[in-house]
Amino acid sequence: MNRNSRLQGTGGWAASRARVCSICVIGALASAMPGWAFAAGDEKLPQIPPSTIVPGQPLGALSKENLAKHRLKAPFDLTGNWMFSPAMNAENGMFDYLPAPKLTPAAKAIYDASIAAMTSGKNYKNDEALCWPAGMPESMTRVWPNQTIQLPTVIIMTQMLKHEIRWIYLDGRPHGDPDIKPPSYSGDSIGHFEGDTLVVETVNLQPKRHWIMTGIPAGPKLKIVEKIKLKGGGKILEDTFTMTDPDNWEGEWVNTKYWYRYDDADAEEAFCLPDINDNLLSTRDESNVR
Amino acid sequence: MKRNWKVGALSILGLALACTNTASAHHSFAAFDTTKEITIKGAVKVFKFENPHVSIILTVTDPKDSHTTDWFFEAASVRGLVITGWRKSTLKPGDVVTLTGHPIRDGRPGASLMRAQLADGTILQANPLAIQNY
Repeated sequence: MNRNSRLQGTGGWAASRARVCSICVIGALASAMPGWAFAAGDEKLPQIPPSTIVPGQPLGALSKENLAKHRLKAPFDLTGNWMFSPAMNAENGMFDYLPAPKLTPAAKAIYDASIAAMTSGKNYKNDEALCWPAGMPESMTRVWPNQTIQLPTVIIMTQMLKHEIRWIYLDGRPHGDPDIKPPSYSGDSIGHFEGDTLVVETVNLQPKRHWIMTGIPAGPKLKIVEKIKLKGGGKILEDTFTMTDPDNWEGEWVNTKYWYRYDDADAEEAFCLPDINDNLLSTRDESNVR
Repeated sequence: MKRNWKVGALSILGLALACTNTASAHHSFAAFDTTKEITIKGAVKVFKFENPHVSIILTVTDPKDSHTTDWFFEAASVRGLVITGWRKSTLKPGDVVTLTGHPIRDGRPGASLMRAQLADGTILQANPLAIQNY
């Protein structure tokens, strides 16, 4: 027999005192636990913390309020898995972005060192194999599917390899303030549609151990403008990259890549784990020039 | 490394690929000599069926002096191998298999895996350069 059933049997003053005490105890507990509150009815729900919106910053792209805003319908929907095909990109450098532009003397020295390393059968500063992010634009050209979800406010791309993620904001916001948004490997991407083309500008990229391709670093001034189109009845994604970085090359570096819609399977887990290279001789120090 | 690995065959092939900067997944395969093939028979020591690269360590015993050498083979991703017939249950430690691959350029006992011949004669393709278009 529990305490309540015992009290029910006593009735009168004892029962009233028990109810009052119970209310007092519950009230005291509630006041001592500010994260909890009572909703309508008897359901106990956690209290929502106060807003953390920073003045001047945009509403979250996944917020219902943002998603519900009236916008023009996008000319296409990129939602799907997109597979980078080496065969479809054989003429544009495949995983690389060829032809390379005219490099600055400092950048050319790095590039020449990478060529010398590869000529001798070594990898050059193979940071990605050591689990550093590929980053933009290289993260777009891994061979595994790029899982893409398009919403009215944002396009979310998750590359299967290491699950590198990028957000392309479509909700009209400007680039993030670098004073509160540190550089990142995917960068800060803002997109808008021009006719049948999605135009995306990416800035604020993290330069640390970040490579556009082997031997050509992604510098802090790197800016990438993409013009994305759907072709072949929606089965081919074409992305023309125009990259500028006055620290590393002259003028614009333009390269067009292709992906195909991949419906045959889902993406899988592929984290870069600390023991990832235990069995891979080609990623060990002996095979790398740093 | 120590000598006298039991090498079944070592043949020089024509240039397999025009492109040498292939970075099929999380790392470049530039360290492997794609103009050569090497075939090794041994016992499976480790079979890691995981992303981003399936890998096999094969223990090869020299019949002359019983000296053993571990050979490291790097393959494509799980998905890449699954579509060519590989499964997690395909290999287990102790299985005797024959592996063919492109040798690592610096002479260490390693290669990028192209194909495997299982004990029952089954041949499974595994070349990351050939199947990376999946």
